[in-house]
Amino acid sequence: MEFLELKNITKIYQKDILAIDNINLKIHDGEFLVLLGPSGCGKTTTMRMIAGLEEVTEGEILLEGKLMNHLQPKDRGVSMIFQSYAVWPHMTVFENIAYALKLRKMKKDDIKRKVLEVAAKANISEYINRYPTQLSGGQRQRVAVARAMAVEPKLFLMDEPLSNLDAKLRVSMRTDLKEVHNELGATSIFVTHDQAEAMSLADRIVVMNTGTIEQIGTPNEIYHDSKTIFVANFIGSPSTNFIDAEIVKVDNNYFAKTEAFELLLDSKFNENISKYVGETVVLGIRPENFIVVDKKEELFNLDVIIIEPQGSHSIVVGRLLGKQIKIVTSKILDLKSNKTLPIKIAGDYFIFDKKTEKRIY
Amino acid sequence: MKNKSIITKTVFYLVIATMVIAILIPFFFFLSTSVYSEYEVYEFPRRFIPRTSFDLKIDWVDDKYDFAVFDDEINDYELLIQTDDLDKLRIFLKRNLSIQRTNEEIDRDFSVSKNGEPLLITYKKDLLYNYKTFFSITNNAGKAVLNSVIAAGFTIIISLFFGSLAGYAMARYKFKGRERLSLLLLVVRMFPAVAVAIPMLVYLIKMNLDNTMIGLAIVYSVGNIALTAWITSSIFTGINVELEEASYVFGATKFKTFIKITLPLAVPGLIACSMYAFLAAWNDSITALILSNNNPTLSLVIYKAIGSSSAIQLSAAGAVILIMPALVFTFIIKNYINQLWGEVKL
Repeated sequence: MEFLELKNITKIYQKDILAIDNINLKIHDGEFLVLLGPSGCGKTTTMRMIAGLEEVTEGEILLEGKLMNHLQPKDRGVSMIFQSYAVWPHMTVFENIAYALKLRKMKKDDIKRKVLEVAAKANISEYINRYPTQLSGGQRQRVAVARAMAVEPKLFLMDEPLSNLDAKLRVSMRTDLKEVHNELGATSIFVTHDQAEAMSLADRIVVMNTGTIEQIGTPNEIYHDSKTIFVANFIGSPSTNFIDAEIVKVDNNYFAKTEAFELLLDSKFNENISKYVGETVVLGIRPENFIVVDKKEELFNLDVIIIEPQGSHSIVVGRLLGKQIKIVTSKILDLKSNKTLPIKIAGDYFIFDKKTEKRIY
Repeated sequence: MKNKSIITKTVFYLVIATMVIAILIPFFFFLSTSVYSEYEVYEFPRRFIPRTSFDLKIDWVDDKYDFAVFDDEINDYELLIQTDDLDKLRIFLKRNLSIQRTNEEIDRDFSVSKNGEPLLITYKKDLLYNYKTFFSITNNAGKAVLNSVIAAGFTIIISLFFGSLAGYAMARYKFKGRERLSLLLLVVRMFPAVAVAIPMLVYLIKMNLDNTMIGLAIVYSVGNIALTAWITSSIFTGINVELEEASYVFGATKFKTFIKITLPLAVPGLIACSMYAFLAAWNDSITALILSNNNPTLSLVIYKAIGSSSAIQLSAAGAVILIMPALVFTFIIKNYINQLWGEVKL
């Protein structure tokens, strides 16, 4: 039995807007799952259906095997951290955290002990008697976290909780959230559109697009084993370079042929690529899988437009066959002496079917 | 740049000053008229600032008191009455000069003049004389004040209760014909109260609510519910939905959330909103005239007093009595008025 299971979930708004299209998802106990996707992909809707804030049009939500579809939010045993924090402005920090406990008819002493305990964990003990308007954004976020922890939920839901914070605070809050998760061990679902956030937090990432799930996997699987063009493009910064190429067969070897280069494909592709001979496929190459080599070893020469030094590495922006190509290299380069660079593909690359946008193995 | 800002500021304050004067002058006129004595009403030119006391000259001539008042316009005493009747003198002092003295006091003071020398004396005016008179001659004025308070109170309660529920629905729920409903609500306000007053009276008589304050309040509320719904809907829209959703998730029912979260956040706006209901009920006299003539409100009593009496100082006193509670109410809630249009701050 899975901890939480979404079975054939569909959500239709106002009779004709399909927000979620028949998704299936299993969430393990104690897992940190991130729903990742661009805005409008249905990730927040999915979370809101789990919380009970949104009705499910079709399908079943099962929590520990029990059907949850028609339970009120208050009866689901979940707690949620909202994008706007949603700390109640007319209550002090203490009252905010105690609200849910009072509703659970806990004893006054127990409430006080619990509130102080979670406030200490969230590092807001000194603000306990302040009103939220007297706190900074980061502190309010901590209040929201403390409030969510106090009820000891089976399931933590977090709806883009970091997107209203400034960049530096976001990174440190990220670490704190992960710590809280590790400490409590409660199953968490986290919604974000920031792939870096997703990669650093998640046990597993669910990449969503236009109401469907593109891929589910660990951060490494999602990155190194992207199953669709969308995932390869969405994950990673700079994102994957896509180059159209024709498959040709010479002797028993398959080549991806473009006007600039011919790439000998690894023999592991032989079985599945054979039916694409003569057709155009999409090569997907991560920026770090292009390497700058010495002359004569190159696969092609890249016309360099810009070099962006990043300290530990540089991002080379170049043009190949009219398309922008981005390369990440640890070499220290400058634009003046490197108008063109000899480039080779090393390491892994993806081949995608151009029509279905699915990966060919 | 600096010059320009001086010019804009000057123009701005000129406009503001003009508006303030336009509002304050009639009000001041009311206020000063309400403390005039009858004598001052017929003085020409009228005094801008009313007298607080009268300089009197009493002469004993031909076994009668010659009673004169100092008039600074002609810089001399004006003879008003010749009599030896103390009752007549007392009533004259009271009615015409708003001076309250007993027969004994008058006799004691005035008899000094019998020695041959004219008596010069200053009597203080009773500034609240008109207010007291207003309550004593309109025998139901005290009841009328109470009636007005009750009618206004009920109007606030009814229109805020139904109006805020409608406003909440308009702000939070999507339902068919929502736009049309909110527009329709405004249509109610397009009918002048007088136009619907007679049919309303028929209904109220059928329900046995004619000449009662609750009946009057119901009629006042009809138009106010619409306005309240509009205003509260923008107040509720200004309250982030996530605040309510957080409450649902953390264990509250919808009703509990409304009571514990939404309502406390909306209260400042609702208080400001109650001003409209209060003013509508407090200031109305025409509807009250038709619906509740036998059990009048204060504004109706004053309306009648102004219509039937030639003593404008009494009407002015009544008007000031009517204005004061409205002013006080408005000043109490003035801090909340900014929140009327959904700028919910705490």
